[in-house]
Amino acid sequence: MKKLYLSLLAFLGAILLALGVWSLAALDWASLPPLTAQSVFDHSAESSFESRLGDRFPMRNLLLKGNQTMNLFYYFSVGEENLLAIDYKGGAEAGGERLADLPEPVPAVELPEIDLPEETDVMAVGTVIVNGNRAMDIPTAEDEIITEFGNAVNRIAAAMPEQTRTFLLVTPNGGQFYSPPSYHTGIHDQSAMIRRCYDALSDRVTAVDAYSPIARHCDEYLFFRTDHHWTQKGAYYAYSAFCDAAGFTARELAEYESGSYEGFVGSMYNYLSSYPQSKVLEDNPDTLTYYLAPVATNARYYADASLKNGAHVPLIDVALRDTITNKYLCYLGGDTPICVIETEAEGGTCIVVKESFGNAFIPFLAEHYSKIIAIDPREFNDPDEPQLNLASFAAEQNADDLLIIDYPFMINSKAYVRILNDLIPE
Amino acid sequence: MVFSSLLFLYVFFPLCLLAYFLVPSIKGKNAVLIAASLVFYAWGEPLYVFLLVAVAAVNYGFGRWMEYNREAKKTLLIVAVSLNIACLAVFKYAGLFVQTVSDLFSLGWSAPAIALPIGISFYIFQSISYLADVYRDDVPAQKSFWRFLLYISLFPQLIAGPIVRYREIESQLEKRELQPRRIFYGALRFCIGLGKKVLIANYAGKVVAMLLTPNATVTGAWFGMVMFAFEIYFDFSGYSDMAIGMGHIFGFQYAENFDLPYTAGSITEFWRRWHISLGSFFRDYVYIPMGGNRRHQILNLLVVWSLTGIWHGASWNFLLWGLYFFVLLVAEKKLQKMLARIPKWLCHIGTLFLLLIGWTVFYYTDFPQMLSAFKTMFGGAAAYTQETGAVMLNSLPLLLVCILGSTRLPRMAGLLLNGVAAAEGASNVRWREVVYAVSVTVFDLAILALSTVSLVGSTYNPFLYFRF
Repeated sequence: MKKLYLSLLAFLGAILLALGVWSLAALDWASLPPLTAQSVFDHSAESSFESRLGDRFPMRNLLLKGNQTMNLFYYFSVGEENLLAIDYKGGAEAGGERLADLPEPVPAVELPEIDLPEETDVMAVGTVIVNGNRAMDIPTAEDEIITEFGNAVNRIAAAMPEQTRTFLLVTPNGGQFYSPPSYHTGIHDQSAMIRRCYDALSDRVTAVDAYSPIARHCDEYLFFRTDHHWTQKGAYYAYSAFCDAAGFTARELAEYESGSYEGFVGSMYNYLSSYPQSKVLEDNPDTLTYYLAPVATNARYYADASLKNGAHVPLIDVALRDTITNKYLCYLGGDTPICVIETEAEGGTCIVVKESFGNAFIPFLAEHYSKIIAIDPREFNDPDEPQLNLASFAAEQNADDLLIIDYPFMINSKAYVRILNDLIPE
Repeated sequence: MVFSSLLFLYVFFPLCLLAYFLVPSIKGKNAVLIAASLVFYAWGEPLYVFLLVAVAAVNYGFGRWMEYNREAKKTLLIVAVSLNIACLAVFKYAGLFVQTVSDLFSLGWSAPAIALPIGISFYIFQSISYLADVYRDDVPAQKSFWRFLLYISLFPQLIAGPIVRYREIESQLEKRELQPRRIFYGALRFCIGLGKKVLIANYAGKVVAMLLTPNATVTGAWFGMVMFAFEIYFDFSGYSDMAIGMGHIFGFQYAENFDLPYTAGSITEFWRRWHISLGSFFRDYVYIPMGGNRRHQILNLLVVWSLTGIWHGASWNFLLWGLYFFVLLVAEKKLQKMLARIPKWLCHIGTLFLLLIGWTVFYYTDFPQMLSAFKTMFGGAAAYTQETGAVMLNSLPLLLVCILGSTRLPRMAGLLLNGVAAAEGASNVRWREVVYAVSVTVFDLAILALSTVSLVGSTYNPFLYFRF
């Protein structure tokens, strides 16, 4: 029997060792940050080595599939309700996604390379739920942060040139309309979050009530089921509210030339792909309908606010390759640091400070402004990012209007409030 | 480095095993284990590994000195134990002390930023047990510094226990038998522990994080606390299983640290089954020397339970947690006759309820949060929301595994399999043992595979003992 035990033990040991050697061989050693005394003592060397070992572990894709199957047990649900609730770690404030094949514009100033510590202590900022064939991210109100957000917008408005009008548009997301009641009432009530935010605004900021028209039309296809964004139709109702606030006349939606992409499976599916409840999202993809701007446009995006060496990007890409599963990237190519859209319309200049919700909205502005400058504030002012002083930039551009567009996760994000505050240096 | 990581499972541990079994002599094997233990500790604590070695050196020196100068051994013991406690006080409790004094007298001091060395409570307590045993002449002082360093730093029990008494493994430091069946059993125990940690505790922890929020409902708070009770049990006993298993693999015999604590019918019984090595440490080195149940029993219990509480972390809620159990244990002693008349099942339910209250005190290091949690649990919030319902529904199979896994059932299944294999007088004993060995190997491989799937697929793998 001794031999049997020894053989079985040797077999177990050999498996461990073989997988260990395999994982070390598969490790991309060159991508590891250099080993320094600081990285050893602050544990960043240790954590980056361990996380890369996991990322390159042998048969990783197979193991991830196995994990999805295992989650059938850990995240049990029955019947057609297909119910799942998990913590949402947020991260939208960290920056968005853009088309991989966009040409890279050259930054005007070369930035120093900085190794930022990995965020390991990200707290949950909300919940993601799957109910039937729809997934939704449910924000949780952080009243203090919402007020701070309002104050940050006030600070921006106060620093704008005299002639620049400032608008704030906070849109609800689909969770407000399609989730079970307890997910959109009380601390999850997005209308209350938006109200609190607007109550904190000064006289220099015009609040755009996008909530009301969206709520009135919520039985239409205004939010994707597999993605956290609104459809462009949802953005249209917000745009109509903006027109009311800014003194424009909104064109009827039917007057726009439109097209569509079928088979869109978006961010919520990606976030949930390791959970069994996501299967129904994959089986029931969304349709993305786009509405083209009624005037000719020319859009270029830039790496920084110098607006030099830009690269062309379509306002709406009507010929996305089939391999691009994230169809929402058809708007402005996704999130780029700064994108300037020149139009043939007669009008002034509008700066739009936005996260990705703004991308589907911006094409509607094309007929009201001759120049629209879309800025993603998440791409600026960190130590490894280009600098942007929004006040002096708006003055340089003779901006007539400044529009800030955000969805509820942003107004509840301390990190995003800091990002907004950084736009106006002390 | 933690046991439940890919780095440990597939790089560190197999390399360590390879070196250990390739080296023929016991001296060589000890050298491999010392080197591995220091690398293991330095991976997470590159600076404090020097503290670990220094603690070992000082205690080794005092042990030798006590034996050399027997007249002064009491003084030496007092000095050495004081030094150990001072080390613990500086690295673990200085921040709490300064902050508390500052808060009490509004001095505006900021707590010193001293990071807590992982495992310090374990290796300091092991050192104290060694000194006490040498003082009592229960064991001779260790002559070899390297063997003593091995005792203090041995990685299986270094960061999460159990607290191994020197006298338990004194002889094994010099001579160990490496029997294949024992190593085989060690591998099984390790895999059981790994499964408890990665496949149960980590997932229970996720449920806890979802439910124990400031916006918890009554149902959610209770369910969350039940899952926390399971998380800490499966996590802690899982670590102990892994330590005991690795001990067997390397030829060491560690005492058991958990014995199905949630089957206890009283708080007294629970503490005989929970973190046994800590309880027996306080019993043998604090409670009995102070007089035990012969004199000042209540005072002795008060001291022991205050120390037990604060041992778990430098935060006053842990002291409160210890005092809570002091009150319960004294009450059980006083009400012994009355409690004996209550049906066993009712005692069991009552014990579990009291434990949940205890875990609530343990969970919240922040007093206002703790009070708010109690308020929620006893009706100060909405009873139930769909959110709570969804999380509870999603976690039902896990809850079932937790309940069954903390009963005698898994142990009975193991014993049954082992018993079938070793049945005396059976004609086909050899085949039975083959079936046993193959089944256990398949079980080991399944746990390893599932744990690897989980570790690759999820980033949630907390280490709960950073406060100890």
